[in-house]
Amino acid sequence: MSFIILLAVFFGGATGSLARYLIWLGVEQVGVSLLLVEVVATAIVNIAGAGLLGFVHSPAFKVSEKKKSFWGAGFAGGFTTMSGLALITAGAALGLSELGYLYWLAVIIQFVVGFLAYWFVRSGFEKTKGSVR
Amino acid sequence: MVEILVGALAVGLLGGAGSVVRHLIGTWRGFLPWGILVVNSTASFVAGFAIGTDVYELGLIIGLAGGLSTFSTFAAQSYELWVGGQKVRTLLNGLANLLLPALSFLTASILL
Repeated sequence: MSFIILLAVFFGGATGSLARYLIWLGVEQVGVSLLLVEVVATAIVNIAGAGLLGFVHSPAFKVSEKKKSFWGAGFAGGFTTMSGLALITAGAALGLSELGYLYWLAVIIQFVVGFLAYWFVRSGFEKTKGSVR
Repeated sequence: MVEILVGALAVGLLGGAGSVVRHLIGTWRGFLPWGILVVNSTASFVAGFAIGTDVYELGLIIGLAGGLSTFSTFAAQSYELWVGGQKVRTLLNGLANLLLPALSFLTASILL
């Protein structure tokens, strides 16, 4: 693994993390509780980030390995988060909300929708590529 | 204003560093994509350790833990397992990434 690829991942991850932070700040302005802010903010970044990675992994994204590393492992990886989801489920388990099971449900739904976002975007661009041929 | 810039710098630098570590470990695969499961659980442990510590919360939780953990690569690996006909492994991967990071977060926040 070359140094230039790791550098691309570093800058992509830094940019993705900053973008996630800005979204979290925006949601925090209207949020009523920590867990609810986390649910909304993680849903936005994880579903959008999974879709973005689906595009990066599709044949339609024809760029150099450096740019792929920046946008894929770097930006999409840093933009999305699993520790934010752990905060929600652990927080619910610790009794931070009386509606704990609903937070677990919200995270499970996010797993399914994020997975489908990746699938639909990737397969959608693979089909588009196929029809052009 | 200075506080916001320092916070953003910490998030960027630690997020970038976490992403590089994830990229290096994330390729480890076996019966399940272990590398991503390990980084997601480790990042959740870091977040559980840092929560409530006002000084380090921003850099460690949003920066390091956020950059180290990932949802998009988890989704991509689950997709690859599913289209490869490994449906049981896909479900196990989902279950492991749901439970182990939560358990890591709980362990760190209770013990440390």
